[in-house]
Amino acid sequence: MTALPQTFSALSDPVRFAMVERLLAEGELPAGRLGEGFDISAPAVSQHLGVLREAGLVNRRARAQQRLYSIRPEGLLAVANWADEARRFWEASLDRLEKVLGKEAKKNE
Amino acid sequence: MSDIAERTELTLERRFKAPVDRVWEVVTQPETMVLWFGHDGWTMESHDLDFTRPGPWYAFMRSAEGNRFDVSGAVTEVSPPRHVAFTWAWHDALGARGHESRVSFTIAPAGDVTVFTLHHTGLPDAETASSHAGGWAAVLARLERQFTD
Repeated sequence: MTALPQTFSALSDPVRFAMVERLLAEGELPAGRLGEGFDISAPAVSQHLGVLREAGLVNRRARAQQRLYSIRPEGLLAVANWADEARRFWEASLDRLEKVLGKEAKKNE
Repeated sequence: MSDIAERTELTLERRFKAPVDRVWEVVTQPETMVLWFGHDGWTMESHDLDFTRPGPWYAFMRSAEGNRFDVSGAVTEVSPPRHVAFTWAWHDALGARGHESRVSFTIAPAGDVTVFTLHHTGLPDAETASSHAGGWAAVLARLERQFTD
């Protein structure tokens, strides 16, 4: 599994975020199309796509002279599990906090 | 079907029958933080849980099954008795800090109770995220539609 910090940080860049959005909207696309609309060089596009691949967010395959990119669902879905763990921790903690404050309220009555 | 869009951010609200000042003390001071921070049955092995001042904090805990759970971060904002914000990251088995996220506690009076709101966001930089046109939530919502049909 790809490390979450890498996944989150890959998505925190506006260009990469937009590339992921584009792939979600349009499916598989060649690198050239993914760079359209951004004022960046071809090497910069490749670099962004490299970061997304390393973060496990996109897949790449070759077709003739083209490199085709698509979304790797596991990468983004892994992010979704993050909040489950946070919720369990805080719900349990706040239940205990409620008990601590509840005991005090009783004592003061 | 779960809502992925809502799963990268977490907001929990609780109402306590205690004054604002008391809730503030209990959720920021070391002596009382150890009474509630963590799952039921976990023990605090060592900690620096002082949310009354900016600076680093940590909590090294052990579960009833004997597993170690280490978490640490830095307190970034303290506005007594209403608001505290801090960073958060679990450690892996080798002690390396994982993904850093952000947490805040907000305390407000509401009649005869005190409303405590906890916000935990997985995004490394909330400002960057909210500046995205479609937004993080929108992307994940679309992803979910695409892959969970």
